Amino acid sequence: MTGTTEKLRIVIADDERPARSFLASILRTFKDVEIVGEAANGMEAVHLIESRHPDLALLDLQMPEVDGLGVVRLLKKNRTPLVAFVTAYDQYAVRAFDVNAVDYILKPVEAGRLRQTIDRARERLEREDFQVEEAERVRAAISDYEAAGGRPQFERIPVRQRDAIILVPVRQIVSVVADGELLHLHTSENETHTISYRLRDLAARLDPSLFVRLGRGTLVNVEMIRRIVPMPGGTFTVVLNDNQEFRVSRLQSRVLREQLLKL
Amino acid sequence: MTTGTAASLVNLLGFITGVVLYVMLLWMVLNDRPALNRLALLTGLLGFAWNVGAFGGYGLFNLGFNEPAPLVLAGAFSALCFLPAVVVHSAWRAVEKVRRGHSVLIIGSAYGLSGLATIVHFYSAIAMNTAPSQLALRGVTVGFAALLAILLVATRGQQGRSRGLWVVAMSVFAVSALHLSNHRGGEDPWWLQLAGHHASLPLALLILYQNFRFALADIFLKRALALLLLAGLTFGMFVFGVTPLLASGPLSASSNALLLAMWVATALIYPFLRRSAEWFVDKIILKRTNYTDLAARLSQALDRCETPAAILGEASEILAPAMSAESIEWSESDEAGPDIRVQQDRRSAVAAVPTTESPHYLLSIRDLSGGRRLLSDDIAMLERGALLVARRIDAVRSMQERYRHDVQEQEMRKLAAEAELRALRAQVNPHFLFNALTTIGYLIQTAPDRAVGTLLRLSGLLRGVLKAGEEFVTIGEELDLIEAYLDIERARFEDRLRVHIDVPWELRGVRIPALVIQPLVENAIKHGISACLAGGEVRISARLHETAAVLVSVIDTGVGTTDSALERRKARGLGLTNIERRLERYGSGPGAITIRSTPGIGTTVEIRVALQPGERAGGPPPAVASAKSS
Repeated sequence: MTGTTEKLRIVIADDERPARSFLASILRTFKDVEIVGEAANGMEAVHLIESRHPDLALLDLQMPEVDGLGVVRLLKKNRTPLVAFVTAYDQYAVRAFDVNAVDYILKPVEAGRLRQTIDRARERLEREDFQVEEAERVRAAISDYEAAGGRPQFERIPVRQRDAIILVPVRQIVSVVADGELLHLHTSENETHTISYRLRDLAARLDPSLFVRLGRGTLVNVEMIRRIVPMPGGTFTVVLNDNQEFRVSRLQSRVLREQLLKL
Repeated sequence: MTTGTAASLVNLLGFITGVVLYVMLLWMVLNDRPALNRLALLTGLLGFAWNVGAFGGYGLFNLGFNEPAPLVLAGAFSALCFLPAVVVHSAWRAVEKVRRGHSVLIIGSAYGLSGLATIVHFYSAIAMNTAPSQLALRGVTVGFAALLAILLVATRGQQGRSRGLWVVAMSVFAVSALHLSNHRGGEDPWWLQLAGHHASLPLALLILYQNFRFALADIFLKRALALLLLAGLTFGMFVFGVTPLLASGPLSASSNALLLAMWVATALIYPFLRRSAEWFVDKIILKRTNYTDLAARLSQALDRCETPAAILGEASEILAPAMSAESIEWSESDEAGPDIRVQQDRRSAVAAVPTTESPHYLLSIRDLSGGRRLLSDDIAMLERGALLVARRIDAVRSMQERYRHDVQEQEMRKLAAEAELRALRAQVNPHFLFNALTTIGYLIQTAPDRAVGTLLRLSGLLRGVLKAGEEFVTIGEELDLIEAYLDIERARFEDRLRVHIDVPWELRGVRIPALVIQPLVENAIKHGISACLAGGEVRISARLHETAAVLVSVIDTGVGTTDSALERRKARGLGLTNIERRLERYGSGPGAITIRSTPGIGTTVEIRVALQPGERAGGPPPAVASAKSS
């Protein structure tokens, strides 16, 4: 196509082996691509992508624990390859991808459509400035999608611990504090994890009866609250089990009073 | 003053009242055109003649005029003697079903008697210069008493009989009572004079009453009665007040004051007398219904009726006797028409029932008994009744309209619910479908035989889901469908999905609403197994619950979930709510679904399916389907 002899390096991720094999079998018919890894779940995908540095990742949208979108979230920004999502049927996702010009393929995968994805990836690879923009677009699409409420609640949140990925049960999370584009999760094991997430998006995927907002930048686990101290002016200070203290904003104080402190 | 003066006063007052009454009667008869009643006219004339003659004969004599001429008296008494004959004639005519020969005989003998008496009176006046003739009076008395007896027997069981008989009896009394006095005013006590000479006064009232077919007869009757009462009062005052006063000595200032007071009292009492007369005529004589009460009664009765026909029928039944009509008939009419149309002779009327919408109705009243006419009160009442009927019909119609509307709405809602159920049933999860197709795509490349098998499974599943019309299937049939579904999912998830089905044979024939188990299995895989890295097991089991229901449970060992997440899932309209509603509709009652879920352990969903009427567990096992586990 572009005259380069270099093959496009691809990682594919799907928890269903038949679907993964079907996708791989079509990719193998293309002479200019090379499958550098097949992942059976999201965490494997993250490891593969970070160790093999593919040009393109074809990620299934529905995978247990860490799904296609979760994979992108867990990847370090500078190591994010071009991404195309694969889904059987998900209206919300498709809408979010369309809006943000993120590539996606529908199952059963069609060779012609897959070809387009490969070609588009090649084009984008040639323009390096596109790559950062591409990563931003994917994150924006994920954010849109999560805001649309189309995703299930987290039971466990995948976080990175150096090179490993661990799953933190939501019940162990004591507080979530926003810090720019990052969120710091404090756990009852007295650990702190940092994830790349918007607080609003994470809150949408947590049990609202378990987590309560204290202000613009904090979310705490209701079961981890030790004391609520009234402050002058009708606001509160919350003291958690691990002795962290949070001032509650005026607006959230009212919410707290109406929801939590009502007899 | 002596008793003589009281008696003369009675005569004077009596005859003047009589003249006035009979003039009223004559006036009414003459006004009652075109149906001029000759007999009534004759009655009026005779009564008038008697009173004028007697007034000329006795009244003037009592005032100090000359002895009345015997010829005048003979004329007056002849008129009086003819009165019963005319009355008998008219009473006999009112009586139906009498053979013509008999009528001619009786009426003829009545007139014969009267004629004979007249001849005797005049003969006595001319030949003996005395009138009346006692012989003639006696003859008339005896003769008419006999006729009265005959009438009494002949009119047995006839309608309007008693009134006629009363009139005849009174006229006979009017004649016979003459024997009581000796016709020389001032010699008898006043009460004897009253009874003897003025029996024709109540006779006039009775005739008015009997013939109250005259329009406005009730008003005349009231006036006449008021007049009589006034005359009686004045006389009473004279006898008990003025007479003792004058007897006590010459007029003094105090006695003058008393006279003046009595005069004023008479004027003051008159309105009360008039009201009493009106009440007496309305209530006692005419027995006229109180129309205010009648309207209230009618309104109450109508409230109990639910159809226009019943309303009109009830109204007719209540109004007819109150207006002394044989019946009131109602009919449908296309036009609203004028409010009420009264015939010229006031014997019939047609009232339009002013309903807001057609069909409109007409109430027609006719055949008033006793020749009665419709008085203004009656017409007002008829109009009011028609209005009440119209309002009730409107109310009933709008009620029926609302009811029809409600029923229609209910029907629509039911249809909508059914359509919804059908749509829900026919729902194929697109996510599953496309994943299944992907799996088949893979199998075509690797294992074409299995690909065909899976394709056929998928076709069977789609057919089962899309199958319209049949709301019930046996548990066995549902399990077949689930098997097909699970085969596909097993091909997709491979060893991550394990299935165990434990449904006793005897339960497989039980009929249950279609597709209440399959969605549970699908949920278990979608939310439980597919979200779990290592996969898990789905167990489907069924058992009988107190012989009235089957408990089916679908257990998965998937990721499980929290209650609040379950709530949200339910709120988002995933299958569960629909299954619950369908089960509820088919008699399982509320709470037919119970869900227990623990994060990290799995989810158990249990549904209670009520056995359909006539359904017994333990029928013959169906040939297909068997418990499988993989």
